[in-house]
Amino acid sequence: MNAEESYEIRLKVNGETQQITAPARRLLSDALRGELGLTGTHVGCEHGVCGCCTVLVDGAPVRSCLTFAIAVQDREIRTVEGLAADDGELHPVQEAFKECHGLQCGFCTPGFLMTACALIEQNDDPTEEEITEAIAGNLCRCTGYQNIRTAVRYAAEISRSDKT
Amino acid sequence: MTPQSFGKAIRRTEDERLIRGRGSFTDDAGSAGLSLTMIRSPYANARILSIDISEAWEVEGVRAVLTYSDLPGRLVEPLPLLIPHPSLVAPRTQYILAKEHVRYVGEAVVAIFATDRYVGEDAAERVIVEYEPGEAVVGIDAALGTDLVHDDVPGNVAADHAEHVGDVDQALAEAPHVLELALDMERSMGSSLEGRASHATWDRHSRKLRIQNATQTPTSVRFAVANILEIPDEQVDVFAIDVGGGFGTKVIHPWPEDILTAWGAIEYECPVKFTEDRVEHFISSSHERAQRHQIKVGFDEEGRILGLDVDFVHDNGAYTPYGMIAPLITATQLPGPYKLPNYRVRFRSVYTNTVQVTPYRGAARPHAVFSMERTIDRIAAFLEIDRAELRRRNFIQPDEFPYDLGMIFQDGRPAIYDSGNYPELLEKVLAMIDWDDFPERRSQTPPGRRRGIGVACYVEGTGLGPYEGGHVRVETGGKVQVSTGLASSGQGHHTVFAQIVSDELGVPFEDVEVVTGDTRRFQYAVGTFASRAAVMSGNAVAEAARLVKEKAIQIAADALEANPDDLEIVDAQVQVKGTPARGIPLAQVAVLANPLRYSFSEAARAATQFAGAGDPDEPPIKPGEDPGLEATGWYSPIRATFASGAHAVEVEVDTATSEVEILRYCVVHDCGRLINPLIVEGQIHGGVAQGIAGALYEKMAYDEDGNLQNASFMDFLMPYCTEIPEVEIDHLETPSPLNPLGIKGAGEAGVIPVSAVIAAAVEDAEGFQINHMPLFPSELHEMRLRDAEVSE
Amino acid sequence: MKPSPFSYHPVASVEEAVQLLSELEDAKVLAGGQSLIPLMNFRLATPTHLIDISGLAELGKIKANESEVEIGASVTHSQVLQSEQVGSELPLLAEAEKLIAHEVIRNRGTLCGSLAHADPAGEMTAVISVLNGKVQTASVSGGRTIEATDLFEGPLQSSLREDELLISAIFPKLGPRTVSSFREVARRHGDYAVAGAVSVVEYDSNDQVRSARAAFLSVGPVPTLVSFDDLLRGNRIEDVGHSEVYNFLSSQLEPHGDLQASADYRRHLAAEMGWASLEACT
Repeated sequence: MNAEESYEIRLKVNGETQQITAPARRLLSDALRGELGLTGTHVGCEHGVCGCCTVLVDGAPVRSCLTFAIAVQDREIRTVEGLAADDGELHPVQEAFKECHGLQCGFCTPGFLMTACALIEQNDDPTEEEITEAIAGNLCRCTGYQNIRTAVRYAAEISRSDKT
Repeated sequence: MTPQSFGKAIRRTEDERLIRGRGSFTDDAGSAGLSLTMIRSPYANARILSIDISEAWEVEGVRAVLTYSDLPGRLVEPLPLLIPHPSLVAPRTQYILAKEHVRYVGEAVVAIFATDRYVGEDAAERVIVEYEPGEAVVGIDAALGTDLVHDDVPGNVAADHAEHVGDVDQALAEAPHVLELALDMERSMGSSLEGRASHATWDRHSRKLRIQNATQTPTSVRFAVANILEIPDEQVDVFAIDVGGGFGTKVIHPWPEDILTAWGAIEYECPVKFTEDRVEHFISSSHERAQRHQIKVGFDEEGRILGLDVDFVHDNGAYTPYGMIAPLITATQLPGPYKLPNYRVRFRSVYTNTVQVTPYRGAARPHAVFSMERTIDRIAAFLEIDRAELRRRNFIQPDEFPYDLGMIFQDGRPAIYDSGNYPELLEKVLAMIDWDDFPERRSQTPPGRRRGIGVACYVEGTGLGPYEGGHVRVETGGKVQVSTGLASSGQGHHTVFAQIVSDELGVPFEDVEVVTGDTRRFQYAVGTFASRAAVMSGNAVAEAARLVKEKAIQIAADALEANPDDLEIVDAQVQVKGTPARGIPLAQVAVLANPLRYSFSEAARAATQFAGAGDPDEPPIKPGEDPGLEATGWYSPIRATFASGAHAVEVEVDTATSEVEILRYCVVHDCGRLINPLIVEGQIHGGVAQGIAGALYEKMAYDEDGNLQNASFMDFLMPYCTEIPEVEIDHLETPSPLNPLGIKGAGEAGVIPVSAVIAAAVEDAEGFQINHMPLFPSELHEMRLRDAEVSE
Repeated sequence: MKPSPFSYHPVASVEEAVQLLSELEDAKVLAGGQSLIPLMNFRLATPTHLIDISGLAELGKIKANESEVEIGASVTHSQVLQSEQVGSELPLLAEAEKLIAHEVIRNRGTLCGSLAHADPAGEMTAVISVLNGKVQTASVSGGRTIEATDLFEGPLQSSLREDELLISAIFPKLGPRTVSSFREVARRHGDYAVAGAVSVVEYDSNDQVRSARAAFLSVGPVPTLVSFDDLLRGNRIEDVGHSEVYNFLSSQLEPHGDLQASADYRRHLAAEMGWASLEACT
């Protein structure tokens, strides 16, 4: 069998553009973790249900396990590593998850953080329903979700007060 | 010890890394080297006729393709039986790669070492395995039938075990009333979001095999790997760092892939990793929870239980690496918080051609509680006595501790309840859910809905031995390094152990750094399971801290020329009690603890041989002493300590769709003294969520050929946040007299009574019996129809 | 669970897309990939070529006129849900969108993609059926219009030819005095429905039913259309009542059982959803 066709793929992640060489079938989740060494995005199922792999593409949450890296060239990709500010200051969602005990093993957490980040940045005063709808597509096996909800609510609060 | 952190809701130290995406889960270790792809049996029961790997080599990036006949040395042996038991008459474990026969869909047959999983799966597609399939034994009925899973295990019985207290036959014969129940619970699984994973590297210069593994017991993985690869323990380091949930499944070791990656790292002289995918977690890790119970209970007019006879069958899947621990726990935990003067339990653990069954959070206690609580509810219904009252009448009373059940527990020691207050647990949960006002609420149920309420109580043996150890060292820079051998998978160990050490030693919480599950730091341990970590390692690090404190005070006493009894440690300073001005920083005591020839810093100067006050008639290190301000402490309990709790739930069933809605879920929980309420509550939230999942959403759907039909998250319905209600929690603290910290385990509590309490509430809502869990809308609908027919 | 190898072809025009579709062996169209990629990860689908149309601006439009709403092939579910046009011209589409998976899937998955996927458990297949919609295709031998009734041949089987590209879906708007509603039951929020119904009811000037029909999800190999005309015409829905509708539907529908539901329960649920969606159209 011939060596598999390789492509030069430009990925813009957390503001930085990098070029990787990978086959077309390289999932974005694997490109982030492997070729780019950004292991904060996790892989839980590879069929789009668990949400551990959720990243933002042009500001919208997507399943990186259901996305080919090559299909999102030159799009703005944001991962958990890009949440904190350059000086290390935590994003409101990160601060909130820490404060509210919104994580236990931490495996699903980056997916929730990115999802919550997209919500808060679009709408910093979400209703309970809007919070539920936003996080309803992410699985967690450890926390029972209660503290995650509290964390998202609190993240919105922090975000609102940061602006005042 | 004046508690300063103990009992406080301190925010976790683990989180900083994890929220920044800087966790170190096993697959994060990198993609250099080789990746292991496994070919697994598509048949539940088959002979392997031939394996043709020739075309796999056509895929670029394949390094090696192995079948059983390629395995070297001790890799040809079946994997170890971890827990033998006299009643486990026919244990069987699988081979690293199937030898001639496969016994479940998912069993490992071929190992492919390739540059990555993409390539490995390409190669796997080109391997041709010829099977001769046979009859699959699926489910308890089939297991009790004529087809065999293992040719040499008659009746498919792996274990047949009985325990008894008193004389059940006589008690039942004399009882005014006798009821029978037939109950069963179906199979489920832990399903952590991170699957199994192992990453091995061999450094031939230092002769070290370094393994990062998603395990709950790194020390055990180390011994197993060293043993099987026939290399000295000293050459193997195993560490877990971050593990994405364990829930019992990751206690099992060694997996075939653990050995293959370790061996491969040495053989191919490059890192080798295995990261299981979701389908593999479904078909090649562990399941749990299928049991069928026959119950006979004798009771008097007041509802007091006179005798209880339980006979159950446990489906252990195709192999028994963990022996018969799960059904043994069911057997010994069944009595729960009730007085059973006459109790007999007998179980058979039987083989089926399905994934192996090993403990999953709760470890078959849910079955015990389901049995006991449904029995109590039936008695109450029969006598028309309030269900809560019936429980009151049968409780072990607060003044009856220690209470000896008369049985041997899963740790091989007598099951003796050390402390608890079951009546108060019940009263608190009844008050929380407004039990007494429920009839009023029921009368206001909207049309098309049925409302019900249930309560369930449990007792859980926690803090199992044989031991754990802790090491505490004060660095000369002032930081306190703590380590313990068991691993962490989200329980906040780094935080709670730091809380304990900070209080014991008298140092700020922020200065304590904890490492768990790393054999390079601590080599002797048992593991994280059975709700034991806080009790075991908590007490061990406390002991180590105490020893360090003693030594620090001794050294400081010499340096300050003071009486050790007059000294205390406050804020990392050893000082005369109440006199901060007369003191030495602990960091400096650490320097003094290590007599030096060479100084490497200003501070170190104080310890060198010309620095000062050494007694010329005494050697610098006296016999029996060690240099350094550090100590190792051990905690080895006389037996388990028993936590307990009571759950109550109010549900509403939609009679059109048969969906069950949980209106309120209340928990009162006793795990002795709480180290960190935030963490304990988190554990309860998570446990209850898994319990609700297991009661209403999840089961392993095997067809009669042994194919798992729902081996994905699309069909195995792990709940999202929209399916899990808020849980209201209250605490009760009956400290454990068995350990100095007075703590009991909390890790599994949330999940244990959930199926029982939901079944009780739905039964109360519908008015017909619920004897089977989980309960899906489709089944509930059918049951309601049958019940309507019967009443016509 | 990694996909097998393929060559990737992003296209800049419909012409290029259909040209490639006709030339390349074993090629599939990639839009959002939310149905295709899971299948590829399981290696249940192993195309050797993927033609990516997600970048085609000409297929990314939502258009509406007096009688219909047209959704281009690369329009995502989220775009449909957020579209003000859709919200005012055909809110039934938005109502259905809210039931499709979760937001994160809707952000990439396309409405047309879900039609091409032809899942009888899909909400959009039911909606296009009940509205008697159609799709436009393109190919090197020319395009055609396929009516909804002819689009779905079986579970996950559409009547699209291998060289055909679905370029848009056309949904007739509801006429005056016409109401629609969607009701479904899923095991978890966002899951495929165990059973569901989308009803469309047209009223006459006396507020009585002139015609009514429903499309059912998950009860057959393709979306199942049921007409209520005989049962309801000239009446009010609440006067005919639950029993009549339920019994009628129970006799009309013959679903299969599966992991989530027995055949009997599914039939019962579908009948209940049929009633619930009709009742919501009053």
